[in-house]
Amino acid sequence: LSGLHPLSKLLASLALVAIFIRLPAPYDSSMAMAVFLLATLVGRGSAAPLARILLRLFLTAMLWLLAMHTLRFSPPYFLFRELGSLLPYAGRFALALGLVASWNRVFTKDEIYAVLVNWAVPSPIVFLILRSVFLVPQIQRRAVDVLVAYHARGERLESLSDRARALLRSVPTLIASVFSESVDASIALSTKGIFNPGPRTTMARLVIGRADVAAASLSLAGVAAILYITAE
Amino acid sequence: VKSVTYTPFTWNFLAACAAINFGVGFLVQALKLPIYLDSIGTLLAAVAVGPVAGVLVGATSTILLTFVTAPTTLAYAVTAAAIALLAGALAKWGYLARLVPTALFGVLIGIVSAAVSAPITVYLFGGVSFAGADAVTAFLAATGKTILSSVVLGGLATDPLDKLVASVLAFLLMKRLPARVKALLAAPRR
Repeated sequence: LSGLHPLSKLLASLALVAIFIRLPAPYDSSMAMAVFLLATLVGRGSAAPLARILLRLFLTAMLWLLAMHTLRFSPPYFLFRELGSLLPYAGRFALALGLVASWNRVFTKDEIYAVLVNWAVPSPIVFLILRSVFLVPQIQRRAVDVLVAYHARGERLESLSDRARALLRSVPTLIASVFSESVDASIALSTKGIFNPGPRTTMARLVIGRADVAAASLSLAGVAAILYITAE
Repeated sequence: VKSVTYTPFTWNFLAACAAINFGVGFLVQALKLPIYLDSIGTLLAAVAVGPVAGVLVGATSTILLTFVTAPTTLAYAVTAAAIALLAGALAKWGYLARLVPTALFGVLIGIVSAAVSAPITVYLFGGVSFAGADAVTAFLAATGKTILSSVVLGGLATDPLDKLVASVLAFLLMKRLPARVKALLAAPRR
């Protein structure tokens, strides 16, 4: 599964979510998902790697659906309704962060980069967006560390001036560290030859092979089967 | 607009600026401060690299914010672009280089930001922006003002202060950038 084209993974994960949501009675879709997640956590032996891959596919599909929901595309009504009703504002924020992390485990940055560049999106723009996405959780984690340190030292954060002072003291350090890392990252980019003419040391060429066709067919067949069963 | 050839460092710097918009905004929310500070990275990029770079950073951070806040945020990419273009243009008059011009132009950027955002809020979203200014807008609307004037006045009550603080923070950050970052930003771009 890990060798599949990212588009096949997306299609398979979408099919998986659709199948879960359309599970007929007496199986409850949310209960099925809970059992599935539990199996992933406690799974052993040969089932564990498969369960982990399925979990990643599921989370990737959720991220994709979240994107569609957010951008107001028109996914099938039942998926839209499930997401819309289950995701309150604060929960969606936490979910988005978690899904970005899960996405990171499903695809490598180079893989996403290659797919988008193959779709003729300018490579610097792709880099800018992806690099930002991967930096955001790091910055947030550091911001949380700063706040935890303030509390641990017993600093007062009750009044507006206390909180403003805390912000003024923490932001320069926070940002300076991010910029310093930018220098290291740019050296790595130059070494790989990215943004420069000539051959690159990384940049996998992704092709859709027979395994992808099989995965896509299985996904569509699964969705068709569950729709047929629930229509009966 | 000055011509800039973007190096790998430039792109990394811009990505960091976009993430900073998001990260500082997160810290401000966590500290429950009555401002947004979600444009510091845009201001830094517009002045340090150029207005177009600022627009790229503003657009990228708006896309990121769209995914985790409200879908309506995407429409405010126009505001982010206006902020970046104005900040980049004001750099030649000492914006982010000297404190007094930074403070004055920060207020100006806030006024322009409010003016650009108001038509989007009114004509696309019926006066609701899902931001802190909504409370002021609702209060003004309740006093009998039109939605447009309520949104404009609500924006003017919050944006100039927000952009003033963001500009002063960006000014301090420009002064305290790590030496090797300053060297790379100042180096002739090939």
